[in-house]
Amino acid sequence: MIHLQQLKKSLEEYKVLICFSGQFSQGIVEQLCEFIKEQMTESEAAKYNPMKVISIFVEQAQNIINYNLQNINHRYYDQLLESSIVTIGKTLDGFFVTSGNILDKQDYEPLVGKIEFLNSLEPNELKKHYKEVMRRDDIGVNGRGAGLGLIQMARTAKSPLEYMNYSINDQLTYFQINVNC
Amino acid sequence: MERLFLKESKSTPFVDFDADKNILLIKGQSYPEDAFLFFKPLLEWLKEYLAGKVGQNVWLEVTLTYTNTSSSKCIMMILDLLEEAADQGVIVELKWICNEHNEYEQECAEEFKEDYTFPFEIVLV
Repeated sequence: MIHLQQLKKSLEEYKVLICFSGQFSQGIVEQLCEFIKEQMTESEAAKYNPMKVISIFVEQAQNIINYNLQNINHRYYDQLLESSIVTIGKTLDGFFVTSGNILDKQDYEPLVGKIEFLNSLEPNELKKHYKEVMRRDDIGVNGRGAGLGLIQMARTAKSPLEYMNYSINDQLTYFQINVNC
Repeated sequence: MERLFLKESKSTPFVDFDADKNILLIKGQSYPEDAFLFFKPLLEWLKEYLAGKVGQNVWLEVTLTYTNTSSSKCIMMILDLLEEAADQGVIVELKWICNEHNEYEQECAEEFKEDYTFPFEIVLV
């Protein structure tokens, strides 16, 4: 039988307030947004504007949904779908939003390159870059987001974006990204 | 032109574009899975509507508590249409209503305002 106390302890150890594991869908994103709002206005976090957390959460979740949609013909599509998890928790002076999902290894380096680039920018440069990308990318062609999600996360974060990966096999890696706000 | 009226959903705003009164309202939050799919009819409606409004007043009132990035891009496309119309002689006025306690909302509005030259008023309530 599942050792729930252990699971609970781990969640407490990492100060996780909300966790969702499994296949994301727009409906789940919507429900979690409502839940985050409730949680964050009824708790000690009441003073804190939940919009930053919601913004990071939505961009992470929709990035994962979009990534999986682009990989509908992937050999490991079912695994990709089931691999997603998001956690929202407390830090000393705010919140973290960390999500994970399986990536094809060929997508890892380009993604990390983007993150490192964003981490190297100052807030005013990030803003400029955000506006440039918003104007540049044609949403009609790439209707499912203009690659703006990561930039928005970097802009909302109060420290650099953090990431990690764990190799699964020759083709797949488990990727996670953390944003503090 | 036919009035464009859309009820609010969990992830899309209330929309009421009234061509007779020349009042266009967008109110709520916007983070649908495919923002362009949602905004495309709005953009098409506006394009046709604005083309016939040279020399006339058009009022847009926006209240957006939260938008994801792809919705923000679509909002930008709407504001671009208004800017274009204003250049061609449509008298455009935009009122962007923000919660006075919500800095996030205000920053978002301020950032849009920077890029446009037509009357763009941020109202705190």
